[in-house]
Amino acid sequence: MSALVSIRDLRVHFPVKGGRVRAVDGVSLDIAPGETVGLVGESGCGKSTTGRALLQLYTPKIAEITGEIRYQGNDLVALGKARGATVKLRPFRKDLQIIFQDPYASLDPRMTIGAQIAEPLRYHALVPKKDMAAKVAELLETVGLSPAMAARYPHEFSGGQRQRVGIARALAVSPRFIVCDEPISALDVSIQAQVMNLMVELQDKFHLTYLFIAHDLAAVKHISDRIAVMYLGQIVELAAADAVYDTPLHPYTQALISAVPIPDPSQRTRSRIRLEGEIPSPLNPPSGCRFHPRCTYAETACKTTEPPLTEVSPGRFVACHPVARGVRFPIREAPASTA
Amino acid sequence: MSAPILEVSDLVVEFRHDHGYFAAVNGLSFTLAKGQTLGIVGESGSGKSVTNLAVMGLLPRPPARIPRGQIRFHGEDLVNAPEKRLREIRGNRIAMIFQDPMTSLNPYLRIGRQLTESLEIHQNLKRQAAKDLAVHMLGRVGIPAPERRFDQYPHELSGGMRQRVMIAMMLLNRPEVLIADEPTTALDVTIQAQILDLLRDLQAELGMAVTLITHDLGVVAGMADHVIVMYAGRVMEEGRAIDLFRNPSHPYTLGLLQSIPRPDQRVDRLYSIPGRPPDAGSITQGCPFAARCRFAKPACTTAAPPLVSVSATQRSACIAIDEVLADPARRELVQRAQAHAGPAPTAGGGA
Repeated sequence: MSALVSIRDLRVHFPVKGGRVRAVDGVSLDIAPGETVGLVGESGCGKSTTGRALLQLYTPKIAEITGEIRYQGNDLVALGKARGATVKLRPFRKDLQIIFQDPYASLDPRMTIGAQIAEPLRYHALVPKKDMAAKVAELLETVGLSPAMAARYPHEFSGGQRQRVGIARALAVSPRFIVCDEPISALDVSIQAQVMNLMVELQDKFHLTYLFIAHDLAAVKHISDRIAVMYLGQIVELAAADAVYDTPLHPYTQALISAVPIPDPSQRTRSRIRLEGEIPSPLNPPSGCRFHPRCTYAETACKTTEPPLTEVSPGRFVACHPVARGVRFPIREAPASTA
Repeated sequence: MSAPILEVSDLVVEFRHDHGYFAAVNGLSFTLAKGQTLGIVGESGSGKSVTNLAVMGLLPRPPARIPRGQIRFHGEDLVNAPEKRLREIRGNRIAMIFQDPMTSLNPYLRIGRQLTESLEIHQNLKRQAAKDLAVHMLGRVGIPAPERRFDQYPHELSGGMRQRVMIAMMLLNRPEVLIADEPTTALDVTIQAQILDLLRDLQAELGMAVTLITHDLGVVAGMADHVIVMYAGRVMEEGRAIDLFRNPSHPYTLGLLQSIPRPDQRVDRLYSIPGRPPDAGSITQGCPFAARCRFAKPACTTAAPPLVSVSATQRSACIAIDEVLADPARRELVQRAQAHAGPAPTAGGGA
């Protein structure tokens, strides 16, 4: 498999008073062209930071970034630190785009929707001025909005419509790869399905590759080919979406999945793995396996030695000492997925 | 079933708007008995939170008004109760927890002070006795090192811990009714599960009646005995939880259940309800869901359909129930759900 984006040992540390927040601490991930990789985990696990670092949205002043992000033979981490980073990164900014969670905060309230969609096209000089209005109209239609809406301001739009504008703006520059950072979390339930379906349609139409970051496991499983589960700055499990849900191997993944509420009262009695305590601070993560203080199965080695992400069966990666040795922990009696 | 603690009948809550008033809640009725959990489900603008504020007597009147309907607590009318009386009930016998505990805790006061304050007001306890009780309660809701937490400020606690503090605070006065408005929406999924477990345990222990307001069908399915589905101020469907999830009989409930991805099932493309919820303040004739409904008839836009019984335990406000029940997509959903899990419902509508 030749990856479109290849992340190697990515670390993103934020210096703060009294130490450094190790938000992302050794993430490696290959994303294939046309694939959707879901990145899940709880607040503070580093999933959004990973997405933003991937697009080089942090300046060296804010964050210390090490490791590699390979895209088309270039290392974006190195380019981001080089002199003239702005200019050097510009060609990649066109290819790699992002959709944000909060369509209220990511649109400028004083600019018309049309002007905001046109902005990246002007910046990258992609469309002559005389064709701009037609291109904006075409983009609005692509995301299911009326071209007449170009003249309106963000406050005239609903949350779902704003998210469509955010998608149109990302699509404007014909990207190849889009980081989708919690794109549906702020939307009403009946609107979430509309936006997810739109994203799938656009992926087929424009051969897009997605990194889909979300805490909603049901949505992530629906849209993703593979899922990476993060805990305290590291990937603990990476596998095909169905495998992660149906037969999670890492104790944290097992707990996470068993906590997802199922919209069926008859499943109320299903046994759930109770996870005690909360995620420790990324300022001072636990030694060894970061999950060990909360893990029922922790062994001596787990307290001292960090388990590497190991391929335990083809395409299945788990960072857990016992699992790597072949131990399989019991999971809840989950009904298998209906194909 | 024991006598209801809380009884809401034909409640209408209106807000002042550009041209007169619009109804944020329109004809809501429910009863809540000891130990029971009622789930109220709805999207933005459905009126679920306004219902809450009305029950708590926290609606600013004006601009709000309650032109019709009753809210009775042990038979006592709350709609026209004087503020002094409401203050005796509120926080004491009917308590509330909100989505965001950070906005409901005072950032300038230590956790302990916020807990003991209500004890001193409602129970006339001396300071040391109040502290002992508060520390005990912090431990009871699963806060480690409660003595230390007692002296901390809200910002020193995580979101999950803050919600536990809120729960401890409302439990101190042993309320008979707990209104939980999106209590876990701001929390991570494993923390959400912890908080829901805690609420369930406490409810069993104390016999509280709980009203759970949420947009999350998964959360409501895990907690509620009875569910009300609201849309634009009106009840679309209500019934026993198992019936409502297994045999949805209103197009809106059906659409919602079809459109949420279920992690234990697989579909290629999600069903999606076209259009979007009406803006707050827009006044619609007839059924508010008609504009987005695939079963809509001309009659739907002239008068809002009343709730009619689908079975002994389920009611739906739709004039096309027969058509909904016979719908192939609905049948598929019902079959998939039944093939999937648990014991079949013992009662409920056709299919």
